[in-house]
Amino acid sequence: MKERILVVEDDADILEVVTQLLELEGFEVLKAGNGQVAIDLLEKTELLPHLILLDLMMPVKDGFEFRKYQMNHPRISSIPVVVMTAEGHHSERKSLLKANAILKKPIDIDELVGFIRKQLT
Amino acid sequence: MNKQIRVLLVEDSKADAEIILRLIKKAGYEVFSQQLQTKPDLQNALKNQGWDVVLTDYSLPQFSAEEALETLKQSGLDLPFILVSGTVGEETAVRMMKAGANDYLLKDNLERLCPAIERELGEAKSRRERRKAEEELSNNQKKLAIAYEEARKAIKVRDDFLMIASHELKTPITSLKMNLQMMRRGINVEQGMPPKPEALAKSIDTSINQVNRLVKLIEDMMDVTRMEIGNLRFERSSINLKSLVQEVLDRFTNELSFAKCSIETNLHAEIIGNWDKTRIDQVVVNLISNAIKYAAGSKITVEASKNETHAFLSVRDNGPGIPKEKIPAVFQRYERANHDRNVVGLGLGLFICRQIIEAHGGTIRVQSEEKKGAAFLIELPLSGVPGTTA
Repeated sequence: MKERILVVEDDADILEVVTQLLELEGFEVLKAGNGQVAIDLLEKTELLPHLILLDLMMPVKDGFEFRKYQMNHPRISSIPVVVMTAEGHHSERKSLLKANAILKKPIDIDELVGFIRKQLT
Repeated sequence: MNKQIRVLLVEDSKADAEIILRLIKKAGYEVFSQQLQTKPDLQNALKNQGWDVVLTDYSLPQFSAEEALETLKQSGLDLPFILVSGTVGEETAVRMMKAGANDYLLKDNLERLCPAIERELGEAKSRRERRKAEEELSNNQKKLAIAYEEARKAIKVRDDFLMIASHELKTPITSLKMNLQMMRRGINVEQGMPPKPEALAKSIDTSINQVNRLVKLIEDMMDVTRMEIGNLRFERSSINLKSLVQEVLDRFTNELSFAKCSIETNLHAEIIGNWDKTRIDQVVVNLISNAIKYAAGSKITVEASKNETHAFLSVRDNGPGIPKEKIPAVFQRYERANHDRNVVGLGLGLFICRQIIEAHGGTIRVQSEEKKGAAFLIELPLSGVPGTTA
């Protein structure tokens, strides 16, 4: 069975190349353009993702808000999260995310795949 | 030439007044004087500026030196107040001095009168000069504090801008780097997988797009700098507004569908103006991309019409709108309507729009209410030059 990854990213081009990469790596990819879309998707789906790849700066609902929601909802709170960020946030704010891993943009694809595989084992 | 002096005499005796005035004249003064005996008269006299000294008898039928001193204090004027009396005892004199009188003299011993007046005039003058210097100092300190505060704010704005700019630059760079790595991986001989031409072509196209995005960001920053030093050039030619808007919308097809925005247009076919095509294109691009960014999922309406002299262009969305307090700032440099929601962007778009439209002699304004969308309305003279009014 393919492992599912939810990618939450507002930039269409990054979303596309990440999707392309993950599909090539044999994952099934779910896509969301911002935190709210991701929440809607998670509420509806029966097949929850095995991992969430999360951008921080997004319109409507950003990565911080998404993470807060996720941690407060037991059904999805244990799904590991890998954060992708272009920096610019204070480190104390980042620690609030309690993410499993934080990747700095520009992201290295080997590093990204490595982090994901590590979280899934 | 005689020195001039303006003397207010609070005195009921005409004879005493004459003696006093004569003494002052003898000391070489040209004297202007007014003699009065009541509080209202003193109040009125003090309203006229320009008195140098107040000389007061101690007791008058309807007035007293205490009251006269109080009246002078209430007027706010800093005039030497000298008690000149025939009857004043030492105790009273001391009390008056404590209350603020500058000196006291007995009428039967007026030798000291002129020296006292001169001394007090000198002291009053130095008090005035000191006050003026203090006021100037305090004004300068205030000015300095304001300038410092402004500089601090400007630095904060720049810092915020640099942070946003670095985020904005990293987004296309991220995509570019990943696409390049994907291509590298595609031609990795060890994996024995020949790259698929379609996939390769797509990656290359996306990469080119990212380079274009970077160029656009850098150009925006350059434009703002050029605008600041008034160095933006315009090349006007005959432009059809409908085709221009249509071209822009065609370029946005993918982004519009990704953001789930629908487009409704109502474009008058024959709007021809003498404008800079690249710059007006830039304005339309900024307005459309703002609508997509701030009002994802909403309907965007683009309308264009004209009268004899002007073209009217509007871009409307049904998004969250702009909070009332943010509206005055939207056309300013580095402003973004929505900081807290992490809407990305350099915050230069609308500033650039306004500069371009104004350079063409036009105006741009916004109408918006929170939760009721935003509309950007442009009036542009067909002549494309400033100095034409709608």
